[in-house]
Formats: sequence, structure tokens, C-alpha cells
Amino acid sequence: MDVYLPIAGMPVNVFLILGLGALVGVLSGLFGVGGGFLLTPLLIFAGIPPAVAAASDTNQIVAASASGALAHKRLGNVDVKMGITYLVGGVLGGTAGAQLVRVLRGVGNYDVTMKIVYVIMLTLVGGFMLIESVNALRGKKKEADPGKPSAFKRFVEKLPLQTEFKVSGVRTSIIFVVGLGFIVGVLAALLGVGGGFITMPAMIYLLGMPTIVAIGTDLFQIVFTSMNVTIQQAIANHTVDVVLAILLFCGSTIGAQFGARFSKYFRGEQLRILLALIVLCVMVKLVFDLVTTPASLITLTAGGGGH
Amino acid sequence: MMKFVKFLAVVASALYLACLPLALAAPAVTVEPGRIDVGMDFSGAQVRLKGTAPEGAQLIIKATAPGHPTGLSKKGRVGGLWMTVESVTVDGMPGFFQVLTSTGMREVPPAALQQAGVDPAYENLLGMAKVTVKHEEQKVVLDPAAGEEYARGLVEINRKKGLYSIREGAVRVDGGRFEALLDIPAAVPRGDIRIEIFTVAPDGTVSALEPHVLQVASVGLVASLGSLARTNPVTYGILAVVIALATGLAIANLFKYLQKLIFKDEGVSAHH
Repeated sequence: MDVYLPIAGMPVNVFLILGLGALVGVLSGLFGVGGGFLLTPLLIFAGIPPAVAAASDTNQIVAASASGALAHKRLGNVDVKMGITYLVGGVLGGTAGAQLVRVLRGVGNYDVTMKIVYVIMLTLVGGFMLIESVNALRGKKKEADPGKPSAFKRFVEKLPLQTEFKVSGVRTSIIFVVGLGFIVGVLAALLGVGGGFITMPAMIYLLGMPTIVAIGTDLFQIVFTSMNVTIQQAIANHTVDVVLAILLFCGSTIGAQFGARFSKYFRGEQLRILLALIVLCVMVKLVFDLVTTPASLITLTAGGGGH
Repeated sequence: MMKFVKFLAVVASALYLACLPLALAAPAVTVEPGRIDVGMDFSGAQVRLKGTAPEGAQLIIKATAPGHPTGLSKKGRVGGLWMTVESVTVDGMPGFFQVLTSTGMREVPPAALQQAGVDPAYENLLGMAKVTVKHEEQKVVLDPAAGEEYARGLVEINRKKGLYSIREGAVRVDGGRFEALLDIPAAVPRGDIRIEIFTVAPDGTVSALEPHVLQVASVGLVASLGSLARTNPVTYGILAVVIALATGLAIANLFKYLQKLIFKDEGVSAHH
């Protein structure tokens, strides 16, 4: 059964899109990650123009993160001050990112740029996860280095505008938080991701926030960053396909229910190795796309979909 | 509702066709369906062309729609990766171009092909292309030799999308009547497709039948969302966000409810 996507301007198989959403949903339910960073590449592999894939995935993330953010807010897991500070950067970054996408599409190099950034991101995420979980399986423990703050932490401590974030129980520079939010905002627009794979480690390891507050605050900022990026993409690039977004969301919600229930039957490290391998496979396929000679050397500059 | 309208259209055309023998001035050509609606269920369409043709004549059917200026990029290897090395704009090429003939094109006199504006390899179209490149904010028209690569590239892109095609022998001629199927791909541009039918008599004289216009229009959600996204992107963006929020919250609550019902627990939260 096909459905015609009004913005992408092409028919897609409903079950293929629901299935991709469900696949990523199962993974996100299993691993407790957002999965946006897998969904955009999978959509591109399925033939959706990259710019439409990224912008519609962002639209889907709005739906996927809303209820979680609300639940964490009710439970008091959101550091609102931290979230809003982060959002100042996130909104600026998302707006700049949508303009960056517009410029890159204008010169015909959006596809290659986003794929390169994806390869870097997926290599880092997949590589870290693989090493960490292989070590964990072997029974190695990461040597903690208490008392000796890293060079990076010392640098952040020297930045001006140091502020207390009471809910998180941390003290850090507003500039650092806004800067981090900005980077994640740009990536959200460029790649169609929520950016949890950067925000979470940054909040937990660099800022020292409690994990549950990091999760709540990340979801809180993701909702608003994605809302902004969706609107900015609609304005700058006309690439938000709301029909595609809703189909993906329905698939991923159903998938996530199964994933979360399956996860009880696996060990955490085994799961993480599996996810790392999936991430690395997607990365390899993207590298392959980047280096193999395209079937045709003349292509549409905007990459199709949305004008 | 649409189904009912389509049903009425079918009934009406059936009645009309039944009355044809009575009508003295029967139209030479019928186009069925007479318009293409691009709705949520659209995945391409077939249009049946039928009519009368003089005995022994060859037929050439040409369906065209105007195109828009199209941005094209040339990929080149930069540091091992394939990137855009030059961008141009191509104008003057049709957005839709299909040619159907009753015989092989080699069997049609070249003068007749020229008169109909067709050839076996899109050479006519390549001549129409105007390729411009931007040099320091100045638009420079490439000379035909330099622009041809891009024009050929666009032909190839449109051929792959099914927008351009040349199908020799696709028009069936039998006892003074002809019939052909026009394949309308999903990527068809909105607007009018002009269908021209040429008959080539054995002595090479070409005569054109009355041209038909096939309307292609977006309908339903495709039309309303598409035009909103183009004409009022801010409203469209906000609408997309509101729809996502509402769907997200509604479905999350639905699942919580279902879980209470089925598993008698609070369920598991999706996404973290």
C-alpha cells in the first residue's frame, strides 16, 4: 500500500516506513536511546531525499519526545534553569543550522556534508559503545580518576559567567552550556537528530549531572529544539513532510513497546555491542556511498523534495 | 466521496461511449481518464488514448508539459569523496516528454519526425536547453557544447523518473482505429500535459489531430499541505509541530491505557 508524501512529492510504501520506524523504535526501546541518528540514514537508504529525511525526522522527534519530557517534568527530573540555558544555544544553533542546510543545498553539497558529519558521529558513538561494552564484558572496570580534574574541566572552570544549577547540583559556566546547546542545535538541523548521544555524555561526564536529571533535562530541551528546527526547516527549506513524520512516529512507538519488553531478556553489555555494531554498519554503508562512483555524475542540486 | 465521483464519471463516460455510434460528429480521439488527480493514494496512473486513424497511416503521439528552471550539479572526486564541483541552472527543457509511435522511428520519414518534433534520442530537447552558470553573481550562458553534458544529465534524470520516455511501437493500430497507453509516473509535474497526435500517411504527409490537454492537479491533503508549505511556511511549520505534539501525547496515553489493560502494569516508557 502506497501513500503519496505531499512534501517529498513521492509515493512510499506505508509498511516500509512503518517498518523503519518500528525497527528504530525497537532499538530505542531496547537501548533507551532516541534513535534519530539511525532513522535519517535509514530513510536515505530507502530513497527519501536526505534533506526531507532529516527535517521530517526532526518533526517525528517532537512527537516522540513530548510525552517523555512531560513525564520527567512531573517527576521533577528536569533542571529547568539548565534546560532553558541549553535551549538558548539550541534555538540559535537550530536556526543557524537550517540556514546552513539552505546554503549547502544551494551549492549542491548538503548530501555529502551531512553524510560526512554522520560518518564522524556514528564512528564516535559506535566506537565508544563497542569499546566500553567489550571492556565491560571482559570484566574490566574503567579506572576512575577522582580528584584530578581533566584539562577540559579546568578550562570550563575558568570561563566567565559561572552559575549554580541547583536541581543538577552543579556549578558551571553559562557560556559552556549555551555553546554545547548551540552545537547540538546545529547538528539537529543538519542531521535530523535529537542529539542525545552528545547531550547525555556531556551532561553526565563533563557537567557531572545525576543521570536521571540529565535524561529529563535532555528530553526537555529536545522537545523545544526539535520544535524550533521543524519550523525553521519549513521556512528555510520546505522539507518537513508531516505525513512522513507521523508514519515514522507510529512505527517507532509500536516498536519501542516491544523493544522495552525484549530488553529484560538480554544483558546490558550484549545489547550495547549489538547497537554499536548496527551503528557501525550504517556508518560503513555511508562511507561506501561517499566513495563509490555515483551512477550519474549530473544530479539535481537540491537533491529532490522541497523547493 | 471521490470514489463516488469517479464512479459517476465512469458511468457518464460509458453512457457517452454507448451513444457514440449515434453521434455523427464523433470525436476522433478519447483520453481516459481526462484528468489526473494527485492525492494521498497517488502512485502514478495510466491514460488510455483511443481514436480513429486513416488506414495505413503511421502514428506519433507526443505528450509534453512545460518545465521549470532546474538546478543541476556535476559531481567530481575531491579528496576521495564525490562532491559537487560545478552547479548550473537548466531552463527550456520540458517537465514531461513522452513519445509513442506505432512503428519503429526509422520507418518514419525523417521529415515527418521533424514536423512532429520528435526523434529517437531526445536530440530535439538538447537543442532547447539553456544552461547558465553563476560566475561572481553574473549569470553566464554556457555554449551548447559545454551545456550539453548537463542537458543530457537532465534527460537521464527525467528518464529514470519516468517523466521522459520514447516508446517505439507502443501505439496499436488495427482496422482504422488506434489505441495507446500513456504511463504517468508519480513524479509528474502539476499543470497541463499537452497531447498531440500526428498521423503520417504512406506518402509521408503529416496531419495533426486535435490536441488534447490532460490536467494534472494535486487534490485533498497533498494539495492543501503542499500549498500551505509553499505559500505560508511559518503556519505550515507550526502546524507540523502541533500535529506532532498532539499525536505524540495522544498515542503515548493510548499505549499507557492499553498496557494497563493487557499487562496490568504501568508499562514502559518509550524513548528513555
